[in-house]
Amino acid sequence: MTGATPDALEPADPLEAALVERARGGDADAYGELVTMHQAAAFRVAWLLTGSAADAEDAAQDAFVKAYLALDRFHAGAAFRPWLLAVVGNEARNRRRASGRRDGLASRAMAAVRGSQARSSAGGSVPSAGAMPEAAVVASPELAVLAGETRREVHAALAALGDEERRVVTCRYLLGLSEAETAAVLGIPAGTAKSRLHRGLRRMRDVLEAIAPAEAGR
Amino acid sequence: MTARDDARDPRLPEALLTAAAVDASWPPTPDLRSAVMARIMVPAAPDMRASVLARVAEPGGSPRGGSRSLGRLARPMLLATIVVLALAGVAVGLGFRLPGLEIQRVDQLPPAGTGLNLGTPIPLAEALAFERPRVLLPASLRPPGGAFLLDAGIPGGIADPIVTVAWRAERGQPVLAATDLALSLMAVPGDTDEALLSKLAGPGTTIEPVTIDGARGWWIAGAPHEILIRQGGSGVVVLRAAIAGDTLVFVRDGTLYRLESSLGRDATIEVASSLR
Repeated sequence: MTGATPDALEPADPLEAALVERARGGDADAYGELVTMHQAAAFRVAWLLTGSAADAEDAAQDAFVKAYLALDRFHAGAAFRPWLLAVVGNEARNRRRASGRRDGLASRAMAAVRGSQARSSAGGSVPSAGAMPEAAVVASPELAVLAGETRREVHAALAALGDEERRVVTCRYLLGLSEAETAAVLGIPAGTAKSRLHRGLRRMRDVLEAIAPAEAGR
Repeated sequence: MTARDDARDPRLPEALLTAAAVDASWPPTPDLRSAVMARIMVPAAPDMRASVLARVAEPGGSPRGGSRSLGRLARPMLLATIVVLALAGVAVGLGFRLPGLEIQRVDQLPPAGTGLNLGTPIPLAEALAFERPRVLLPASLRPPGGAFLLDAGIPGGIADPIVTVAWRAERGQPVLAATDLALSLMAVPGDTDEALLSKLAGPGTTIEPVTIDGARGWWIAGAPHEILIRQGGSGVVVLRAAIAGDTLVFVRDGTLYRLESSLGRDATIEVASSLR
């Protein structure tokens, strides 16, 4: 893992620590409780990084399994979530890298379907269900979650940021991650996360101040 | 004080972001617990335990003489790792694959046409005469109602033949979507890393690792998925694409078998186990 070691920075919740200890002893049900506690955060982190619900589900699921298999390397007494989210972040980034190849296959599939629809089928054709909507990946997940009218200002300010700054700001504020968790999820040093957050917020402030007079003039 | 008045407040971005987080529209979280539990609770095969215990043992010590941490932690972890890798194949880190097949997750399926063209009808005896792929028939079923060959008839050609046999549904038996078939069995060369079949599975489709007489496979069920028939050789050229229903895929002796079935998981596995 690159960057921060968040598990060393944040103490464990007593209930969570007890579940981790039971899971380390082979109690799968205890680990199931941990999955329930953290699956929403894990899935959202993965979705933020992949922009795809399907990839996010697979990445989060794989991360939970890998974390289970690596529990013996987890520092007893440390918070579980930061450590888990670092694994999730790593899985999600790997899937994002692999998505280009998959998207190419999907687009070729569409081309083949259009071609086969133009040809008349012969032989043992098995008819089946009708067409499905085209595949889609959310280009900017951070902005997609703010698609409501009431959050127009935040949307505009976030949209003005570069990808790296926007991800840090989103992890920190929309996902509610700590700075150490944010760094771990994104695979960057804690200092880099901190400086990107500072720059991002400053730029957002500038945008919001620029927006305010225009809004007042309406 | 209005939001616009707050615009001069240096805390404004933080405050607005915190407020926005409350009603942010995240996509719904899937049930990860069930899937994770299914993967970490796979029972260990007895013959694997001995070899794993031997690997867990510290150098120079007996399996039971290992450290407490090995005994309590490393052993179940390694067992789980190996069992998951053995039964789920590639689920951890390598994706869903079998020789001759790859399965990929997508958010939504690309549009598919009117159905999968299985090829040219051929006599059953001709289908059974192929060496590659090898067509086997389930001993638990009556003879199939038809056999089909998919090969050079496809524009652009196909490197290896794909042979399918199919069974029509009996009265009252469930059928595959928009067909009168209860089951089709496709045989594809499955002795290389090259994928002649691809499957695209959406969020509503489950992919469950299964074993067929010791061979690993996948039961793909739930929402219909999409099957793509690809041209062999380098590059990715999709020749055919269609929506498919519940399907069992597994490899035996160099042939990838694909059973699209309306019979349900257990009955389909039983049919697959009876292939002779």
